[in-house]
Amino acid sequence: MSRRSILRSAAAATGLLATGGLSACASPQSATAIQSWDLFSGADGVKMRGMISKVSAAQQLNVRPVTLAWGSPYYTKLAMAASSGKAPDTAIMHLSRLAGFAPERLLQPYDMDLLARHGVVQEDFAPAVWERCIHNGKLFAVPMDTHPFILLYNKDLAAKAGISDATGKLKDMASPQAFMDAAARMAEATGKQGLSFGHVLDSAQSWRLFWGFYNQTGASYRLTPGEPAELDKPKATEVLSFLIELLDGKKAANNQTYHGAIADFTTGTTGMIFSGEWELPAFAEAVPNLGAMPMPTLFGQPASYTDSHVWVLPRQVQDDAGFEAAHKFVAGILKNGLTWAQAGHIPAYAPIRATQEYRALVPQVDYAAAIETPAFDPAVWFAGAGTDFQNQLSQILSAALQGTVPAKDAVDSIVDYLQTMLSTPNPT
Amino acid sequence: MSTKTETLRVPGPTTGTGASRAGKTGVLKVGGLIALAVLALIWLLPILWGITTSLKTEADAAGSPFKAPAGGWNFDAYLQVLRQGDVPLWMFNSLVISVAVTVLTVGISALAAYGFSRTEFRGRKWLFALTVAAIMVPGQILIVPLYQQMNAMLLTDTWAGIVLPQVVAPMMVFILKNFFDTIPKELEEAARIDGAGGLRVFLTIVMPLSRPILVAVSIFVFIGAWNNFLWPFIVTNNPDLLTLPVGLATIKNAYGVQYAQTMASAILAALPLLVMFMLFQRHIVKGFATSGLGGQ
Amino acid sequence: MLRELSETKPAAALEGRRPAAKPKQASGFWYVAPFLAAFTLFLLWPIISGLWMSLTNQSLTGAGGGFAGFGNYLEAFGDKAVWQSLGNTAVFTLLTAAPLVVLSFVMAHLVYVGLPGQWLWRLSFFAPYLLPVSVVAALWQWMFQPGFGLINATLSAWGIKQVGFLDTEGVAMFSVVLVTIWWTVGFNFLLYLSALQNIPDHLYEAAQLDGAGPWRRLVSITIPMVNRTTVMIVMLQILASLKVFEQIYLLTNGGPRGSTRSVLEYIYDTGFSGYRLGYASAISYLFFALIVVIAVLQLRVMNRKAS
Repeated sequence: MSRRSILRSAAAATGLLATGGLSACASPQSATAIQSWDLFSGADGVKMRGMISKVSAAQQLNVRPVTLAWGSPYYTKLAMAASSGKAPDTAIMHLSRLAGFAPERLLQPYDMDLLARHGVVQEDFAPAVWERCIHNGKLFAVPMDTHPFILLYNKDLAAKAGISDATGKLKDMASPQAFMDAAARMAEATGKQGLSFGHVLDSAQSWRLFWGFYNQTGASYRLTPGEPAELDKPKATEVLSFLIELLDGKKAANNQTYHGAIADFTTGTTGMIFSGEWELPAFAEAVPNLGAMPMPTLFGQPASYTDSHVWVLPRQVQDDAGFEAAHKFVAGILKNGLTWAQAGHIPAYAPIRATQEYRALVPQVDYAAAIETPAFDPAVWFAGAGTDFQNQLSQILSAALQGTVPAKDAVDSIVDYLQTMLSTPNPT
Repeated sequence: MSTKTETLRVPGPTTGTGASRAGKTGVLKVGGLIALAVLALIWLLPILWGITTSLKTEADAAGSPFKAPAGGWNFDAYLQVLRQGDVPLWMFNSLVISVAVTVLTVGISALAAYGFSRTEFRGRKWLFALTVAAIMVPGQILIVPLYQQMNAMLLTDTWAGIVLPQVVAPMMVFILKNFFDTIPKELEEAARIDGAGGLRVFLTIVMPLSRPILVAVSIFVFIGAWNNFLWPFIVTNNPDLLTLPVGLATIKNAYGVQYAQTMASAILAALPLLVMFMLFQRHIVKGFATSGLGGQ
Repeated sequence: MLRELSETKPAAALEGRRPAAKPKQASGFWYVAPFLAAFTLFLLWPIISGLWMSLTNQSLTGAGGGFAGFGNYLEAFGDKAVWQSLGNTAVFTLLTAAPLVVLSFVMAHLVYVGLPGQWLWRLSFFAPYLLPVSVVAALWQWMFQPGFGLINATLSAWGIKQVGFLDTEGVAMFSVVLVTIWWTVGFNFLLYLSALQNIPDHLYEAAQLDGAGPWRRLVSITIPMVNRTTVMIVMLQILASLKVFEQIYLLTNGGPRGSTRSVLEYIYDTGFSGYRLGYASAISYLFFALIVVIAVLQLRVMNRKAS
């Protein structure tokens, strides 16, 4: 950071004026300079900056990290930068956004040989995750992590409620009824509610929970632009009805916001919470005896709603000096995955998950299995993290969870929305 | 700023103070003063609170606003912000861009205004009517086609791309033309008899006579350019080229939300124009009158 | 070009005294040329290319681009989000325009009547106008902050329930309006102030001799005398409010549930976040047409008033 002084900017500016601003980030250093964009602030951001400076030093790279606001603003800027061909050398994306990011136009495929030379090959990744990175036979993304939606619980309270086994882990809950019973017993233990789930005014939470359980039913869906939307309405209604029943105000409150739910869990008002694993560090701080597991398998097949942070190579029109350096950088970051795992994420790079250090990370290792059965967003251009799709569907679902719309009507609205999107011209 | 600067009427006699002119009862006056003080307090409050927050430690900033800060008052947040280097870089970018926009805008607008005011050529009236009509066109509506155009011209992420679309200012042409119309032509004709050419008359007679209006217009354009958000936001993606308003809004602190630092950045960003206003208040207020915007 | 400019002959002046006539300059066009070039390139051309774009399916990603006829326009008429954002823009304009005109006049008049402390008042009311929008957004997000934000903390201290100023539907728009008034009233305030200061004193003196009280002087002298300024402020204000984008984008990003999304933000969202440049252009054009209609209506009303 110290390099970025006024002097540097003045020098950069003079250089820019002279060259008409086309060679924006030329650097005289011997190390290859590359620019990297991400959307991590807070605890994740600290970890990411640490990893970047470690990799920069070890690989003799001159990496300039830039952090932009999470969500839609980030993707808009990244797409605009890529469409003008003056994008950063490498950038973070959610895997769920890849299909909608016009990989063939806005991204460059990786050179697999080059990646292999830096020690990264296909066998290092869970097949379910790797497949989503391939587009038209080419690799457009290298996964750094998967970050599933999981169930976290307070082990002390679980023991008090009598729903955990001798090791402190939750006993098997294999049906909606079993889970509701557990939540009810937890509610007795806390004296308030059993489970936290925050969804009011949130643009993703209800969708994450619903989609995870929908995938557990094994029901199929087909979303092909220009064709009718196919979603298993009875199964979707079944899942949503269960969630409405679960959020009855006793087993779980039905009117919690994202932050309200976190506060309830961390203060012991509830003993369980459905949440992204990215909140793990905050929970661990407040709940010393913290347990975690993938979304419990209530509908037959294991599945947890999941997304994944991947590294991509945005399209460049100019000379591609950063291309090889970007491969080197991405490989280096993957090998530092242990730092990333401390933030709660499951490292996508298998050699990290095999290390002693990772296996000792509790409770991370208890939900690592979620990487094998991910329920990603549908691979269609309008879906993914931070999209209007997630926002709209979450609003519909949240209304149902709050009891203002019957499950069946909500499912109809979802299909209507999907139908509208499928008939909208595909801009990618 | 002493009380002498208080009577701001631009031309015309300065007889009678406001008080005698208003000549009202003391009650009205006290009431007015109270209303003013309340309004001014409301108006200053967000800025004052931003300043106090920026002088706290991060821990105190995220605490109750009514408690005295446990960590005392200090400039740590400012030092942090300056050390990270983004704000100075953006400030430098903003300065270069705003100066460029101001010089170019005032230059081409004055030339055009002179052309419209003092010369005859075919289509002059028609072109001027077009210029006046364009005042009504909100440029913001053109962001989509303009962005594609800049992309095609390879001007995205360049200084030229940020500056050039901002120099089209039909309103300034209009204001300047109105002012030039009021300059007596005899002055120029005298110079012409002495053999001065058109451009020389413009530069040596008209421009100096128009100094007050040029200052006023320059100040408007500079404030507009310094604070412009939408266009620089759209046309730049390279973090090295961001202007202050865009940088503050788009680049996030990788180390999380830090209220004292956020406020320190905001106050730093606000300072240049605030200081400029305090120093040149008279010119700026006067500029409103001279420009014909605020006059009769 | 410079040569041509300086080549203008002083012949007209030598012909005799014709002070009324403008000096004839065949090369007068060259004075206007630089402005005209920029005008054509960065205003006229985007208007034309945007019109063409609105008839295609152009995408930010470079995909598509085929001719779509009036498909985009037809889609826009049936797009609920278009109507919602138009409604939001109208509400925003109505809620901001009146207070911004009335309040700025009140402020200017209070300062004008010669109360002590002019420098302070002018600085207080005009200072926010000098702030970049990102600073305005940062300050007010901080004011509106739940928990320990100044406003919510004060509400709590008085035992009132805290308000989600930016994330409650029905409240967020008012918050945005409030911020906008705070931010921009200073511009109108200075316009009014300089207009007030240009009112000749003898009018007041005469009125005073006739025994007119302060209220009477306000109604029959001050307000009519600043009428032109008022008309101009109203016009500029309506146009400015209609094209609102940045403070909304930064404070609420159009939410919650699109309840604060303005037309311009919808254009940004569809064009850049959603890649659909063609469709976004079509919405721009519909909005453009609307603004032209409003501007023409305003001009007609103004002309009627003037005559």
